[in-house]
Amino acid sequence: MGKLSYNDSVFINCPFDAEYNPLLYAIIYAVYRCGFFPKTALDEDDGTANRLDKIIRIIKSCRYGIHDLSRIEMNVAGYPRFNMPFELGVFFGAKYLGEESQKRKNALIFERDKYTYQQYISDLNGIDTKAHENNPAIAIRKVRDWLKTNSKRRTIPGPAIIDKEYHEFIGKLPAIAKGLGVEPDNIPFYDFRTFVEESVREKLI
Amino acid sequence: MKAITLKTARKMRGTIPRIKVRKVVAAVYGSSSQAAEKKQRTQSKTLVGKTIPLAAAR
Repeated sequence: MGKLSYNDSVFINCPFDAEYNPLLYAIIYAVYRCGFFPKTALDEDDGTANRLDKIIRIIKSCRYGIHDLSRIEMNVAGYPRFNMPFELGVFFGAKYLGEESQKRKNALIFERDKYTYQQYISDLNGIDTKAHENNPAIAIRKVRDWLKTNSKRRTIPGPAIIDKEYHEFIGKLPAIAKGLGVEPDNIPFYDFRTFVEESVREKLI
Repeated sequence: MKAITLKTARKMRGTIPRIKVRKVVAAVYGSSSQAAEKKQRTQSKTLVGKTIPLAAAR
């Protein structure tokens, strides 16, 4: 893979837990299949790096950002999860206060149900969020349509094609994982991304 | 201090070499270009193998 450009990179600001995996997998697959490269806070595994520095560096390197605010409910300890809204705020800050290239930033903001954000982040009033309704097929369509609209790339396939290929990939994922000695129910994110990259490549050659 | 090789670094991170992933994905999808090329070569050989005895029989 060559050097990743700013225009090809998509910052993924979503939860990374088993419950969210069906949506995360669908979003990651859609981003790759549209010809873009997803970047997450899990990409770098350097114990000496400050987490926030790392996130800022990744946000700076991405023109696009997918932010999912659907999982900010209380965790088992009774605290809300503020990482996603916080990182969305950093993304907004880069867009409006950053250098010239940063002003071209573009965000897709997901919620479970449309406009519920008004009850917890009223500062976002007027922002057009998208609802994925916890449905991977809807998430794929929204990601695809958003990338198509904003990049104007002709190489982006229709949502039905991506959805069909994604289902084929998900059907083959356990066999791929087993073939590489990875537990299908516990695939490390870094490995999952490589599986997606190679599966998309396999479909395109 | 001894430098860590790429292979050791991968082992430490627990990541799988891309070439290995590529091979497994190709096998699971069953349609990689290499596999298709190999299949085509095998089929050609098989056809040649079948043609020769027939031609010899005539």
